[in-house]
Parts: sequence; C-alpha cells; structure tokens
Amino acid sequence: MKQLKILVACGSGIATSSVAVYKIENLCKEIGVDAKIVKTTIKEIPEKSAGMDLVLTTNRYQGIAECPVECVVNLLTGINSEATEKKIANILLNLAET
Amino acid sequence: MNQKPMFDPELVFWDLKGESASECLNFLGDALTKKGKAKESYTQAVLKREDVYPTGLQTPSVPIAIPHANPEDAIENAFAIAKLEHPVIFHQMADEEQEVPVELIFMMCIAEPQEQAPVLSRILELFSDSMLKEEIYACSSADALYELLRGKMERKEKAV
Repeated sequence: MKQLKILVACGSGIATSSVAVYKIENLCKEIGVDAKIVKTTIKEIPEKSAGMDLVLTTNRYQGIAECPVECVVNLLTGINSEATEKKIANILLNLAET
Repeated sequence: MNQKPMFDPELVFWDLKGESASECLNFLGDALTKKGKAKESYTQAVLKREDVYPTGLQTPSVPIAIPHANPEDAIENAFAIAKLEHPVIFHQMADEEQEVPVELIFMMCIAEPQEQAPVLSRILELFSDSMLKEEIYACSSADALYELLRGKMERKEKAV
C-alpha cells in the first residue's frame, strides 16, 4: 500500500479543517492507511491539489481540482457520520491499493 | 492543558433577539471587540467570511453556527455564545444553498489556531449528543447556559 497525500480544506484553513484533519488521522489509523495530510483553504484547492490523491472539504466545493474531492462535514457534526466514515474509508483503501 | 478559562460568562447571551444572521453576528462581534478579544476589523471580517463560507451546521441536538474570522482580526482566543430567542436563518457549511434555522451561535475569535482547534472539536462532539437540546432549553439564563457548557467541556477534557 502506498502512502496517500490528502489535502483537507475549509474556508479559512484554520478551524473546521483542523477538526477534520484530526478525524481523518484517526480514520487512517483505524483502517491502516498511511497518509500525509496537508491543511489549506478552499481558495487554494486548484493550486494545492496538484500531486495529491484526495481533497476533503468541510464546505461544498465545485471548483476545479487535480484529484477527487469529497465533503466531510458530516464527520464534524455527527449526522450520518458513520456512513460518511465508511465512504471515505473505502475511497482511502482503494486509493492506497492502486 | 490550557489553564485559561475557555468561556467568559460575560460573553454568553440568553434569548438574543435578532431578525437576521448579520444582526446577531454584529452583536456578538461587537461584544468580542468591546471585551478586547478582537480587533475593530473583526466583525466585518466575520460577516464577509460568513457570506462566502457559511458556518451553519445541523447537528443531532441543536442547529448551530460557528462564525469566525482569521487570526489577523483576533487579539486573543475567545468565544461569544448566544442562544437565540427565535431561530435565525444561516446557510449550511456543506451547501450554501441550504438554509439552517440556527438556535445557538458559537462565535469563535481565533488568535492561536493550534489551541482553538481541539476546543472546537470538543464543542462539536457535545452537539452530536441529541440529549443536549433538552439540557440547553432547561437553562433559562445566560449564567445557567454558561455553567452547563463549562461543566460539559471540563468533563470532556478530563475524559480525553
């Protein structure tokens, strides 16, 4: 399995993205995926997503990105968080195996 | 852990009357500025940010908003918390086209993000407990809400 590069973004790059990073770090540990996680702002996704495997956001993002983008706000609020966790876990495992 | 008290009883408000999100944000932003927690630029920065990146969140307990600005507009870490008299429409963080009738606002003044992120994480965990709604509405004053949240956060801290 390869090490994944994950970009985590929110509006300011400091508040909700930090919480999301914490959740994703735990999720990666749980499923045995090695990941390097970088925090950024939504605005910087087009530029910073180059060379990344996955972008995770706490806002909806409809702009361009160099890799797949998923919204993970559910991991923060606890609404449908299990389903979101499963979905992200599957994506991470698939990416790590390719 | 951080020894400074997380919340300030003078920055907790009960039954805040506001007709719109921006009215509530102005009130709370000004309260943070007057307390010396935020710079004069803070309120405008929060309003501008809320417009582009809304912070409304549906939670299993009470719909909340977590408006904030960048550290350059903050002086020191603080929260201004208001339980609203009537729900006020915010937009959802995950989808700005969706509305959230927010009942409680947690405005964050973030000067040191490294310290504030774990606090936000614990706040969000609190609101993921559906039982919290009843406890909040059993409060009838700012003091009671302050004590409830402070107690919950301290217990969370010990449990970590």
